[in-house]
Amino acid sequence: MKGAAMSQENPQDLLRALADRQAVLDLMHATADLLDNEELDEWLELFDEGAEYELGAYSPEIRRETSWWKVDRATLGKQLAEVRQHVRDPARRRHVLGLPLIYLNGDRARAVCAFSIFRTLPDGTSSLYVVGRYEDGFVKKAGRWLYASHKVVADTRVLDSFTHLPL
Amino acid sequence: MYGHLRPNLPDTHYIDNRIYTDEQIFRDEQAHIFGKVWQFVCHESEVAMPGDFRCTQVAGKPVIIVRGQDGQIRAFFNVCRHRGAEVVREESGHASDFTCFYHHWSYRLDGTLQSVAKPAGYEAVKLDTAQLGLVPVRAELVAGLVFACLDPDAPSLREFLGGICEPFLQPLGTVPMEVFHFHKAIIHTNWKLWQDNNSERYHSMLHASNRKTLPWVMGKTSPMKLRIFPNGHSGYWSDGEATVNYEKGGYTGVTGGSLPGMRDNEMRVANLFPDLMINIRSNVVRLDRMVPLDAGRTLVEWRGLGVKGDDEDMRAMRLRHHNMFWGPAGRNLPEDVLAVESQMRAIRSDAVRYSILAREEDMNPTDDANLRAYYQEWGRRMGRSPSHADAVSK
Repeated sequence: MKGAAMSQENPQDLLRALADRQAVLDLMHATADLLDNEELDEWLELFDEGAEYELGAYSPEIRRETSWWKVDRATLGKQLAEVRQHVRDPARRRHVLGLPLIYLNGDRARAVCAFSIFRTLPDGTSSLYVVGRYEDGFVKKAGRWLYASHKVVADTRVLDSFTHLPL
Repeated sequence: MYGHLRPNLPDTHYIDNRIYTDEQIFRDEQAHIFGKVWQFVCHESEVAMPGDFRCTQVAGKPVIIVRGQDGQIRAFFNVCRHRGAEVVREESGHASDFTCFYHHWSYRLDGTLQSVAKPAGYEAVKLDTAQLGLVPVRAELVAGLVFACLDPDAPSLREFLGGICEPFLQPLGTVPMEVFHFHKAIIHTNWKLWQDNNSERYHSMLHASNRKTLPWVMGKTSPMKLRIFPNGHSGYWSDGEATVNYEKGGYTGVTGGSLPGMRDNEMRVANLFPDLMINIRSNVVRLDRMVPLDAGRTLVEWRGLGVKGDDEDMRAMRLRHHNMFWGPAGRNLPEDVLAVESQMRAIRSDAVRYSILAREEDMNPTDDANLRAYYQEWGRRMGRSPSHADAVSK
């Protein structure tokens, strides 16, 4: 298995690494759950002050990475505060996360995790909305893990509906 | 049926909604409009180097755009002259020549047939390979924008566009630009409804951000005026002060680096018949291009352009400005798509047959004069009145 947590020889270090790994895993699942429930203030609280959120994809049409949403925490906060002023996609969303690869390095960590998001329309029909992966950086502050960067790399490039909400 | 009563308006001031839903009308549009006019296909930066190519569709036909060894950008049908397979199967790429994967007929970048596999088999019929190059499609450029036209008898691109080039020649054509953003979607609506959305500003009240930042849209008078040109082209821009008030919306970090000829926070929009929008917000450009799939589905391609050679900070600013409003997670674009898809769902029912284009307000951006001019051109090319979908005049 990859990652620093499994390479600890001291039992206390190993326990600490396991706890850190679990905390990062919990953070990633909390992210998905908060977005699904549109608890956006709480979702933003998972970001460190200097954190950045990015949504992008590789575009074979122009043969380069293309960034669809790239903002710092402050701008993200302003945009999320305006979400309810917008006319929005009426579908509810449900994130399904794969098992992440987590790499611990002291008070820093990074993770890669496959995800999919399903949309359920008001009439009850569901469909796959986006599939992709998260490429995340984390920082531990005052005993709490937070996002240092949260990057959504979408495989899906033809979206059924655009989004005012983070993915 | 009450919903089918014609509005008490001049024929020019309302639309028969069946022009958005009728599949025969859609097929006629492909033949009489998309098969006849110049259409934007890509920006020159997408085929920057000799051998760079880009694939697309024009009027339902597969087209390759490629820059030759001589630097010239050409277009061809992406169809092998041998047995009709696609010669290129990627969205874009770089090649020294094009070899059909099926039977290995090979073409040079200028379209001429370079070689055929096992040529001895054609000696008996004296196959004239000089006549079997890729079928050329007309390609011309203006301000870095590459257009293609399937009609050999159509006027030149510049003749077709005329004065609508005025607002974008300087910002797009005097510094090297490049595409830094691309996304696409299949939206569930008729292609004309997307062009309408791009053309009319009356819907600005749909957007929370525009309600705050575009005072010249909501006021009774406006320094921003509609401009209407022959061949269905139109736009709106200001000769004076009509800037976007970002400060009022609380949007920061999007000013500076204005493109040549643009004032800080200035906005210009040009809508080129039939399907291209060029939207310039001082320092960044959005291009919308459409590939109509059927009457109720449209592939839309969105491009964002900035100056080639931008430093990291400048590019980040242009990207931030672009995505704030126009990305798939922007403030405005999701709302526009919801609106035109809602229109299509309701219009398809034929419960209410006519829609209204009757605003007359001194050519302010919320006047419908540009939409009326657009549909007049649509009707001229289709031989059909847009307000009488079942009456064909030719």
